[in-house]
Amino acid sequence: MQLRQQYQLAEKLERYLGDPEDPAAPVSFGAALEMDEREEYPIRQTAFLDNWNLCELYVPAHCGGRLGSFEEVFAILRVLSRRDLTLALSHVVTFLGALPVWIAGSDEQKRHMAELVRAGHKVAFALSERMRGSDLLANEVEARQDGDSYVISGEKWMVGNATRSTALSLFARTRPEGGPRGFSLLFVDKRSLDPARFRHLPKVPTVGLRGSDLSGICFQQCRVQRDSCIGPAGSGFELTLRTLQVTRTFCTGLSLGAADTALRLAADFAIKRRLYGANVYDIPHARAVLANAFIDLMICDCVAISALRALQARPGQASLWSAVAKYFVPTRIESVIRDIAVVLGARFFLRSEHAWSMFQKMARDSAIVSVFEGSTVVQLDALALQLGFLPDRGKTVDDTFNDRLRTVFSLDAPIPAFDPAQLDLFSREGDDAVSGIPFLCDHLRAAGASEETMNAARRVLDQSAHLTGDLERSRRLQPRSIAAFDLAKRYARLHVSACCIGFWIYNRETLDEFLGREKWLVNCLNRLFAEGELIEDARTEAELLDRVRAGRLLSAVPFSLSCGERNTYA
Amino acid sequence: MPDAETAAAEIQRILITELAQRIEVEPELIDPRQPFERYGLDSLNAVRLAVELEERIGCRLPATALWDYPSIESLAHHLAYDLSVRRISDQRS
Repeated sequence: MQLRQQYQLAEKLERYLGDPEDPAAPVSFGAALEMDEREEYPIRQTAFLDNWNLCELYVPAHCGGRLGSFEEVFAILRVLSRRDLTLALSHVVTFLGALPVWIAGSDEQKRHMAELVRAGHKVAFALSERMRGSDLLANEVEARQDGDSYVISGEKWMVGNATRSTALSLFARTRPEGGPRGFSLLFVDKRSLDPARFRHLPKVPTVGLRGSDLSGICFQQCRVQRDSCIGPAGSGFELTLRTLQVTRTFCTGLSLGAADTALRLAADFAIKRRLYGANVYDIPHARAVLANAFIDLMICDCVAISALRALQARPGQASLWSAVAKYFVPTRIESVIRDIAVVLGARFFLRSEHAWSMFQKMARDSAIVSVFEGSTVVQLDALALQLGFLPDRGKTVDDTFNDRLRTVFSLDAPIPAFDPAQLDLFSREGDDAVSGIPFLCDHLRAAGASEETMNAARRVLDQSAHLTGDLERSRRLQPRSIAAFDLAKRYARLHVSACCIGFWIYNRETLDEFLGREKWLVNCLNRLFAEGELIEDARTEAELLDRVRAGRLLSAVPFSLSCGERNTYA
Repeated sequence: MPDAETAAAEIQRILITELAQRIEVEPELIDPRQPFERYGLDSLNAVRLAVELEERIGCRLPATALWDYPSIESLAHHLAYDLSVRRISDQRS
């Protein structure tokens, strides 16, 4: 089976980066751990990625770069994240920082940004402030208009690459009274600033991502040209919300990369470690815990990959798809890592021995993903806000529906170019995944799915029918109430279920034998509704072993990883 | 433009009713010149209200309409004059 084009670059990068278990490899676990202990920024490693011209992938094709498919960048992000989240974030932050310019910048700004990024300069997204949490409109850094310039004052804090970046997308108050039209995003090239009027703040000590440049920047009446404003003045809040729809979807790649390494280490341990006269992997419970974690990873994959594809295929629905992905995947991966820690016993708590300290580092580093780029509650709030106002399903399911679903779910369907103008704060098109549940279930029946599969699908269908009335009534729920968030969680689970069914239907004939089985889909759906129960499936357990032995990604779209020949198991 | 004037007044009445229902007060207590914020409507709930009004008025509104026209009076004026909304969808037969 040939690897799909959008994953080929990730496989190439794997080969370029070498086997992370090999201390001599350019990006190794050993170096990542040592640097983490010393809280040292991965200078050599980011330069190694620059040499590979990874930055080209952060620049859209129409601006001279190679960015065409978000799914491709997502696969790359997993390759980096499975080695070291500090490295992944340190590098990919530039993509986030540049995104507002790709979405709303002028031609001149795009040219300038493309030049910076392609030359390997880092760009940061200076959004957060010390006292402001998720409340963007309370931000205080101001950019006061003065003739042909803005005069910037105030402090941004906990900003990735704040110090090491050459340029920033800076979120600043441009009307003293604030409000949703009172903020703008400014494209600030630090080299053009008066060095006496700004300073960097020290790196913030953190529990995870210890080597990253999470620092800040403080401006004192710092002057920038008026044309540094990205989009119209006053559009900063809206532009930030639209930018975050894209970036928060990518966050799932950080979680999934970390989970791959955590599960790989735990499975490796279980294969080698002898306990009670047998290998740990021979203990049914241990084996099931690991196999269920593997199923969880594939569920998360279905949501993440579909959401990434939907950014290009259905950008008008991104407010929903990205919120579900950012809510569901990082929190699920946090619980996956906790679950598999049980198999490692006390080792998961160690910082001294190589393999275990890597597990611990992944657990620590990935714990922040559910918080940044809009926390879990922010995502639930974004969902809850829209749920009462989704259009009737009857209106959204029409003759083009099958093609629409195919474009989102089928890995072989051509994907349209990203059109940022279509990103909307509220999905007027509804959500093709949840609207599509009856359609997808009919599809399964027509394809002759087994009784077991139909039972699993019917549970999704019943819950979806049940939800319709609750959605209507949700208009009257108090914002940010427990009931509103509970409804958003139920909704998210249905969206996730629909993504699993859609992913399976539209790819089953071209996926490998393991993923093409109906049982694969049944396992995903049962796991989603199992409420913590473990599923027993010998085929999944065997597949996990095979993947770990052969060095293939623990994903719904597996590709080959760089794993040395030292990986010889008993 | 008497047509537009009538429409603006009608739209204003609908906006007052909607907002009063939303925040559970009597319509008489709503001052159309006050910003929506004054009635506890934060930026994201203003997006939601814009979408809700779209249904009532039968005219496509940007999600950010209430950010750009932050009071009932300015929004009604914008709808009636700039977008030439003359009729309300609920009143169509």
